[in-house]
Amino acid sequence: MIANAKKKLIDAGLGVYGWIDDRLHVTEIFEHTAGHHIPKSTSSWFYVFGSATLLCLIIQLVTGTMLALTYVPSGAEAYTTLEYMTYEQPLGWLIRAIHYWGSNFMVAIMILHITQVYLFGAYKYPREITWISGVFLGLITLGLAFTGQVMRFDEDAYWGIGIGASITGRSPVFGAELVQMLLGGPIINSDTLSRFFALHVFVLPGAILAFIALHLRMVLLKGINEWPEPGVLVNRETYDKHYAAIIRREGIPFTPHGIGKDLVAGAIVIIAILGCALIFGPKGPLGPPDPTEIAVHPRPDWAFMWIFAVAALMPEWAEVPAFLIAPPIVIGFLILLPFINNTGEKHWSRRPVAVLSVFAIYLSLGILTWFGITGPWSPPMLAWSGAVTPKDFVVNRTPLELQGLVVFQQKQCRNCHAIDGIGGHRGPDLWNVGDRMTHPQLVRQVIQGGGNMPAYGKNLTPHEVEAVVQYMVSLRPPGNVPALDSAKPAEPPAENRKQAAKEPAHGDRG
Amino acid sequence: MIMIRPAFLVASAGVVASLALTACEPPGKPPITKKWKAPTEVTDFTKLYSQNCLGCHSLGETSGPSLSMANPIYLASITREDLVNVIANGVPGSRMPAFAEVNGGSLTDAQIGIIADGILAKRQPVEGPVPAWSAPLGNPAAGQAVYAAVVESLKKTLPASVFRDGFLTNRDFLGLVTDQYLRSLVIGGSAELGIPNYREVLPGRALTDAEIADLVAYLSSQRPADYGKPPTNSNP
Ligand code: HEC
Repeated sequence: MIANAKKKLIDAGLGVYGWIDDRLHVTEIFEHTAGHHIPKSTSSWFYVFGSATLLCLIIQLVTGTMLALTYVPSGAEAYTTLEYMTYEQPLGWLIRAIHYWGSNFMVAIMILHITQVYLFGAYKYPREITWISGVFLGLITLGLAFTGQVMRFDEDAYWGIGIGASITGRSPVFGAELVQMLLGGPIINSDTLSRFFALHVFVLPGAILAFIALHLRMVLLKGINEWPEPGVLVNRETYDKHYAAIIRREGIPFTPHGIGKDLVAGAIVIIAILGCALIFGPKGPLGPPDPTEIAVHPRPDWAFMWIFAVAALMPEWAEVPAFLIAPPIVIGFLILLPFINNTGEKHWSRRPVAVLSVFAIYLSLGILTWFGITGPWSPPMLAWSGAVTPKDFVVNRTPLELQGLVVFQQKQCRNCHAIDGIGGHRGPDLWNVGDRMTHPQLVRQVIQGGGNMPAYGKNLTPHEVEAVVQYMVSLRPPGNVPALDSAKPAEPPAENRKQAAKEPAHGDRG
Repeated sequence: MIMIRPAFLVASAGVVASLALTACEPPGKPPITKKWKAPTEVTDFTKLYSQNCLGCHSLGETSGPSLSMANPIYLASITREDLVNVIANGVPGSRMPAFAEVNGGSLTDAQIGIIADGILAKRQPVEGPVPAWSAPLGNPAAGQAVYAAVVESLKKTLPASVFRDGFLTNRDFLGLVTDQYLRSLVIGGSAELGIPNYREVLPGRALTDAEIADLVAYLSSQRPADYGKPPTNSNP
């Protein structure tokens, strides 16, 4: 009786499904999309990064929409709404945090995905367009990360756009016009934020969806790259047959048999993003975007830290080549890569140049990022009044030497020079400068400046010069005599030696 | 037998986690104290002092090149009014900056009050009266003998090297400090320079008010004539 009813119910269900399928062809659509066949070898942990990046995008779309419900994209109100979301709105901070960490994970996982497909030779015949659409997806993702950083309209955002605008302004012929277009005026103003908002929520998300459609279509049409085997070469004449044979031999439907690892990876990504959001919270907002506030330390988000480091480290003549000539070359190279290197070995063990270049790129971007994070790019503007001098560099000095340290503080030398690690790091740490420079050399350096240091001659009285130089001379490791003039005999004069012996040690570095 | 399916486990873990989330405060939730404050809104003494003063004036724990503000004798000698006045207007002709906004400084009147009160909170009971913070100069000729006695006594404890170049009579040193600084130094002493306060600098007895005024007058008389003039270095 019951079994009979069950059977009837199933039949009815199948009937409805059949009716729908007849008209919408869902089974066919499924077989051509989620259910398409993939080589069994690609159901691997190495192949999860693409879907994980896509998952991040979905998280960004959802949380981004939620943020847009509160965020007011106007120069006057953006900062206040950010403060409201972060400190007052229930769970507003969490949405901001998830969106921030989601973007970090999206960029990071995307980089892993690019590395994987590059090392597995996936860009070669016949997947050129899959790769090229991926290059555009990468650029759009970086564009979203950059414009997103501007949405967090604080001092970092302000200086970030400022740097972006001055790079743009270096363009030949149309520099000023391009800046005008980017900022909506010659300077950062309320139109600037509206422009970046339009890019961040309409233009770039629209573009990314379009390119994802193309990217996925190409994956379905040309298949996912099989697990490469050393010695199995890609050949334009035979590859399609070779791939069809693999699918026939070991093909499995992506859904349900190949999707397992992607689902697990997706769960890990969600847990990681949520965990970071809950533990580390959102970023900023820091101080308001106010150009008159100079005691700020603007730094971009980590994905752009290396550009920031390049900008800070390179000599001025290199700016145009680095910012206007290099990027088109790099992007052009990425787009042309599948044509330059279309066939042959796919396995990384047979492609030393590929492996080495990945290694070199990771290393140099890593080092630059590290420089960007740790570099003393902006002086601590309050060091002059706040930086403490360790005891060993204060005691056992003459009254004049101590006044020298007062001058050193009051003239803000400390904002650029540390003493034993405390203070600014634009110039050298002076903890042992008395070992390196003589009294006359120090006088000249203070008065005339040089090597990036301004000349202080006009701003110091003779007493101040003498005091600060005497203090500098006293900065040397214990037991060392003051630096000697190399034009004089190397042996210190007798009285000097006697004095050095009597003198107690300054500083405690052995 | 009841089978517990993995999906059910995951779902219940999720429910438990979200319940836990609403119950406790996750570390990522930014505390209101993290909210950006305009520098003029800072009211915390420790922060104000360590940003604006600590580089030059120690507060007991660290060292600084100018007078320590945690010196019991010094704190007994100075009034709140004088302290506020010095912080707000600086010491003209010296390297003590004026901090009041009206003088181009960065501190509001309220913040200057907070700093003065925070410093005075370090006051400790001191036995007996203490010389006034400020007083007219005494007799330089008499001061010379006091100076000689003080140096004589200091030489017993301080390394010889600190007496180089004339010690407190060094012309460049005197060209940089005011008489008030010298007076405060003599009264309160200086841990950094190794100079004890006026009660301990001579063996067995304290300096008298007159001796302090004479000593400062003597040092003042050694000051170069160009003291307090604007920079004259015109090297390129
Ligand atoms: C750049 C170093 C510097 C900074 C920063 C500084 N001072 Fe001074 N201060 C001095 C010097 C030098 C003097 C001595 C001036 C003189 O010759 O009379 C002085 C003098 C003083 C005096 C008077 C001492 C006396 O009795 O003669 C007080 C009080 C004082 N400072 C408090 C402060 C406070 C409080 C702050 C922070 C708001 C501060 N100072 C910041 C350098 C500094």
